[in-house]
Parts: sequence; structure tokens; C-alpha cells
Amino acid sequence: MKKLAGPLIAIIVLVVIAAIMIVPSYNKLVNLEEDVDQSYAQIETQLQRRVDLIPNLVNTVKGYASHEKEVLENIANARSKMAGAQGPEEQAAADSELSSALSRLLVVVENYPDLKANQNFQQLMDELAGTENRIAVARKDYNDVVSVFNRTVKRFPGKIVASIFGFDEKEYFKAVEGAQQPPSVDFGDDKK
Amino acid sequence: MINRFCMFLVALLVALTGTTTAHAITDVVVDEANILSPEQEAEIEQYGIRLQAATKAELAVRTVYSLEGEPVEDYALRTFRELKLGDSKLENGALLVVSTEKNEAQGIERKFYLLTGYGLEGALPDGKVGRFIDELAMPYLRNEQPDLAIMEAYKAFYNEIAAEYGLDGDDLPVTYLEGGSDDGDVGMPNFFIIVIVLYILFRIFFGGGGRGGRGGGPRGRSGGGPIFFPGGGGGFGGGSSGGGGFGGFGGGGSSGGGGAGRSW
Repeated sequence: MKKLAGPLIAIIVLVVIAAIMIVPSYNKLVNLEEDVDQSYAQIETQLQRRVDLIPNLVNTVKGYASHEKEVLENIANARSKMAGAQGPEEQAAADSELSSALSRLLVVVENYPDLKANQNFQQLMDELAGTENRIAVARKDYNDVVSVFNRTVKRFPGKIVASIFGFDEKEYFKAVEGAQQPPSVDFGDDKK
Repeated sequence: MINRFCMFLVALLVALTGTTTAHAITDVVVDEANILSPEQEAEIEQYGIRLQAATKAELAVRTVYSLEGEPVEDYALRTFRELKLGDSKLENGALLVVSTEKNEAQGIERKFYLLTGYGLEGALPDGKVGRFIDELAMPYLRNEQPDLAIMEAYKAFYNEIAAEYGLDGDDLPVTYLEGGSDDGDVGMPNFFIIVIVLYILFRIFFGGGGRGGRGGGPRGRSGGGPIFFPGGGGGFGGGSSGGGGFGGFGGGGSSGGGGAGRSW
């Protein structure tokens, strides 16, 4: 019995040390993963909000510029792609496409002073600009959290814990080049 | 021995709370661009304190000469999150940023932008903010009266927030620049009041359910709890302090980037 005591104590000590190392690290990873998921949900909320705003916008524009079919079709296509996109990469790509379709609309709108002066249209454009800014903010917040998460997963002791419990690196939400800046919306100057 | 330990704990607690309050001191208005007169600043300050005492909402104003190349949205968000405007749970802060640098050759425009915290996206949706700026602030801005633009916009935002929290009869009169005749002067604010009353009724009958989903998030929250106002809400004077007075903005709120703005 006494012979066993030594190794037993050694094993217990090892287990305790392992637990001391693993448990906080595991909890940290769980918390970080939760943060990542929440930030991602925030991006998705804002992307959805943008998708929801588009039909209203298209209808308003149609009332004034119904023959700008190509621009409106592009927006509708980009919107449906956005609605069907899954995961950061696809969603980021669809988001960029929608952004460029909308910026083309802004160029076209310059030719329709009545539309520009329409209160409903202005309100929609404000909502859209605000949503684009929210997406930019949510994207940055998400990427910040992902960067913390990925660093933890790659470093010791997180690396061991992550490989035991299957935490994988998270994907960044990357905006496609040229779409980083949301098209600026500005109707203040020449109204009235 | 135990007594000593207790005293140490108390001292530590005092020290900790002391630092929290010190951290939270933030002015309602910081007018770096020197747009506002001292009287106007005092007026805004008074509105801001009154609003915060009643609703915990923090509506702050920052004017700067130059944004130094930073987009106004980014500048506003950075400042907002540094100041932690709004209550930490209600997230009901808002920040009006006005910049005065203009350089057409370099494409630098003067900005007038309101950033809303998560909790005020229902009271001040982007579309409404844009409309207020168009209707209230832009006429003054075009008239080179940015001080009045700030005053009137501030009051309009104040009224919306007050209405959101059901503060009846606390509306501030807003003056529209256009329609200078008596008719216009009387007519427009009345219309405004009707809109607010309708809005309140609407909210009463159709229940809470604010707009704009908030996915929740751990961002930017400080541990700092709400600030207390021993003398707060006391009304207009400000002279007779109840000991504490205004503790400053910075309740721990955050923003997700909502809001609207214009160049002028």
C-alpha cells in the first residue's frame, strides 16, 4: 500500500497541474468563441437589415426612374445573392457586390432631381448609409475578436487545449478591395 | 487585526470608487471649434444634465476644427466609445460631431453628424436623424449659423429621446429657420408637437418592440456602473448643488455605428 502512495500522489499532482493549466484556458476559449459568435450575429443582423431596405428603395426609385432597368436589376440580383450567402467569405463577397450596385445607383440618381428631393428616398438613403456604417463597425469588431481568438488558439497553452477540444481558427470577414469605403451619401448641399 | 483588515478593505473600496468617478467625468459639450457662445454651451449643458437625470440617456456634443483626414463616422465612433456614452445597460448615448474645416481642393467638407448608441436607434432611427438635420440644421448651416444649427438639432434630438422615455411635457421649443413669418413660426413647432404626441400614442398602443435588432455584444463595456447624481434633476439653477452635482457623462454605453450626417 505504501509503495503505491508515491506514484499515486505524483499522478494526482500531475492531474491537478494539468487541470490548473487546462481549465482556465478552456474557459477562456469558450468565452472568446462566444464573443466571436455574437459579433458575427451582429454582422448578420446588419446585413439582413440592408437586404430588407432594398425592396423599398427599388420601389421608390422605380417611381421616378423606371427605365434605369439595368441598375435596378443589378441591385435585385446582388440582393438575392446576399440573402442566399453563407459564411463570412460568401457574405463578404455578396456584400461588396451589393455595395457596388448601390454606388452605381447613386450615380444614376444624380440625373433625377425629383427623386433626390423625395423625402422617402432621402430617409431610405440615410437608413442605408447608417446600415453600411453599422456593417463596417460590426465587421471591424468581429475581426478584432477573431484576431484575439485565433491568437489564443495558436499560442501555448491554448494550442494544446484547442487541439484537444477541437477549437478551430475562425475566418475573418474580409471586404473585397475597393469596397471598404461605403459609398458616401450626401444630399444636403443642393436641396432647396 | 481583523479591524485593521476591515479598515483596509474600506479604504480600498473608497479608493476604487474614487477612481471610477474620476474616470467618468466628461462634459456634455466640448467646443474645440469655438462655434458656441458661453451661454449656448451652458444651455446645452443644462439640457444634457436634465435629460441624463431623467432618462440616463447621454446626448453629447463635440465640435472640432479638423477631423485630420478621418471619416467623421470613424471619429465619432472612436470618441463615443472612449467616452462610453450612455448607461451601460441601456446603451442610450448619442454624440453630435461638428467639424468646420473646409477645403474644396482636397475634398474636405464640413461635417454635421449624429452617432447613436444601440439603445437610441429606436428613438432616433437614421432616417429621422437625417430628416432633422435636413429640416432643422441645414438651413442654419447654409446661413453660416452653425451655433443655431447645433442648438436646434440638439433640442430636436432631446425631444425625441424624452418622448422615447415617456417624459411628457418636457419638450423643448424648436425654431425652424424657414418660413420667417409668424404663421410659420407657430405652425411648424405645433406640427412638431403633434408628431411627437402621435409618436407617443403609437408607442403606447403598439407596445415596445423597438426597431433595429441588436445582436448583443461584449464590446466596449466598462466595469464602471452608473454614476449617481446626488443633486441631479433639480431643475434649472445649477447654483444650489446638493453636494455632488454633475458627475459627468460616460456611463459605459456603446454604439454600433448608427446615425446620419450631412456635409455643409
